[in-house]
Order: sequence, then structure tokens, then C-alpha cells
Amino acid sequence: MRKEEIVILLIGLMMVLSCSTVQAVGVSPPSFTISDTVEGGEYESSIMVYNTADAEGDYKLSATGAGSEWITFYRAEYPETPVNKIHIKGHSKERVLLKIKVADDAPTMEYRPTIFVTTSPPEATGGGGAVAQPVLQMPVSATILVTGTRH
Amino acid sequence: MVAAVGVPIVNGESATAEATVSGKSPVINSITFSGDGVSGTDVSLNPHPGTTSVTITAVVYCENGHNAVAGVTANILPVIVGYSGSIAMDKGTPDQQAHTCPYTTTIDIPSNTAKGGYNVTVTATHNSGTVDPGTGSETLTVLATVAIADLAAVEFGTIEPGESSAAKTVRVTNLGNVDITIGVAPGALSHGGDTISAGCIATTWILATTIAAGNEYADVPVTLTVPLGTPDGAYTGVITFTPAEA
Repeated sequence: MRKEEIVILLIGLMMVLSCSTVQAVGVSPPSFTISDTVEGGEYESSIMVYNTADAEGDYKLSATGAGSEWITFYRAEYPETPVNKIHIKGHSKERVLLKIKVADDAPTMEYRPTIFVTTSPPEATGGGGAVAQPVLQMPVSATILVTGTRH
Repeated sequence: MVAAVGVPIVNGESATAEATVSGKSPVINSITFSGDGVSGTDVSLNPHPGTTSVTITAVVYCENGHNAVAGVTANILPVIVGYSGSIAMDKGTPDQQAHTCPYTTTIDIPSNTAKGGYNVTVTATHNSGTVDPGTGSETLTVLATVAIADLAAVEFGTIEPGESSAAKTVRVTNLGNVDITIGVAPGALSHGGDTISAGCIATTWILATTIAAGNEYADVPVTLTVPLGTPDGAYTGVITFTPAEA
């Protein structure tokens, strides 16, 4: 191979490497329902969070909407320690346990909080110009039906 | 002397006894699923390019004992890619007292397998060709996995105040098993105490645009317009991408 061809090959390789995926996130399932709950009752559900990027990453856990204040997050293997962020190695996954404690005075109705799994943007390393980092925010739709029916 | 069964016994000689034991169809006592992404009868799939291993275990009972079972197979419908027709199951360690034996097989489900119910039918055949096989079934539910990946930061470069950048793109790849839409929400860019508002980043991306499952991608166009009077400096911020099942 000629010297010029080697240089072109190396430049091409560097361009490919510089375009490698920075962030990737997945959740399953993207929605769930907890039916027939009662005021003051405690329930559990879980989601799987995937990091399909090469690099490890931090993922923030949050919830919004009516009923979101009832939700606490835990790593499934440490179900007694609440967390609001999880760290996942590259090409790995983590099961997140959701504990839902319905308020003692919750009116009987359907609640639809949304849970978010959000990536942390890497530090900006712009070469002097304006730079926008992508942030990936995965929503998980929850439906909690408070019926007050005790069995 | 006559024995209870009415066979005359002559001292010093033996009598022939004959009996035929009927063959009994095997019974599938249970079918269960196990694996990393399995929860009960639900499975969450690893995103592209991974596969998800699920072990199917069937406990088979036969009144004629475990050795009377000639073989056990599983059939999955609708078909999961790579697993059409009968799938042989491996015999485990029998429970001699209970006359049962577990049979297992492990399938690797591709990441783009559609969500939904997959009926797993297990058939256990008897050694005797005249005895009906035993069958049982259970539904394995593949859940939706919403997963995306994107390329690195959007570098708008150096822009004159009052000017717009060239159109840049962010490639968003669908790594899950369901079609998705993408919400795009730019944030403000900042440099110290100076800010370029979120409204200065424009996109022509249409929210209703669907990105198909199975490693399909779309390029989201974004353009930055720097207002007149913006102090010079290197501004940084974020653009938030929010996928949803289409």
C-alpha cells in the first residue's frame, strides 16, 4: 500500500471514530398500569433501563404529574435504598424497582404520572463555537387506578 | 391349597402370572420462562443489536415413569425469527418419586421481535406409538422496548451575530422493537452569564414522523440563529430528544 493510501485510510478511520455513538438509552416497558389500588396502599412495578452505548453513563430518574409524588425508585438488587440516579456500564442494563405508596387521602380516580429516565450530557468540548449536546429523555407512562376497593 | 387369586399351587412348582400395564399419555405439568429480561410470563428485549435469551422449562409427568417419554418439543406461534417448527427440548434430572422430569430449551429472541403474545406449545410423546402425546401451552408476552441512540454533539461552529448557522443534523436511531416518534426540545445556550434563548434553535422536524423499529434512523435538522447584540464566546447547551411509542 502506498504512503498516500495509508494516510487517506487513517483520516477516514479517524472520521469514523469521531462519529461514534455517544448516548443511547432504552426502557421496557414504556407504560404500565396498576389497577384496583386503595388509599394508603403500597404497590410495586419495575422497568428495565438499557445503556446500549459503548461508554458507561448516569441516568436520572424522575416523575411528574398527579400521583408522581407517590413513586420512589430503587435499584432492584437494593430494594431498600431509594435512588434518583443510576449508573449503568456500557452495553448493560439495570432493573429499576418502583414503589408506589398511594396517599392516605387520595381521591378515587385514575392517576397518570409520567416517569422519565434521562441521560446526563457529556461535558461540552466544542472547539470555540456554539455547541448543543443531545439529552435523551425516555418517558414511561404509568396509570394508577385508585378505586378504594379492598379485597 | 388354592391361592387367593384362584391359581392352584402344587408344592414345589411355580405358576405363570401375566399382566399388561397400559400406556398413559404424558402430562405437561407446567411451562415456565426464565432469563435476564424475564418477569413472570413477560420478557423485555435487549435493544439492537442484542438478542435476549429466554429459557423455556416444561415439567413433564408420566404415570409410566420418565423413561416412557420419548421426547419433548416446543412450538412457538407466531414464529419468532430463527425458531420455526418444532424445537427439541433437553431432558433434565428426573424426580423419581414424583415421576416427573424437567425439559428445557433456550431461545435467543432478536431485538426487533414485535411486541405481543407468543404461544408456546409443548408436546411430549410416549415411547409407545399407540399412546397419545401430551400437550400444554403458555403465552410468552414480549413487551415493548423503546430505545434510541444518537450521535455526538451538534457543533454549530462560529456564527456572526444576526446570522444563522448552516443546517446541522442529529441522527436518531431506533434500537427498540416498536416504531417511535421523537419530540425535539432545544434548550438555551449559555456562556457564563450570557444566554442565547432556546427559541433561537429551530428545527423542521415533524413530531408525527415515525422512525421504524429495527435500527432505522432519521436525521433531525437543527439551525441556530444568533441574535444581534449577542456577546462573543463559546456557548453550550442541550437539545432534549423524547421518544414515544408511535
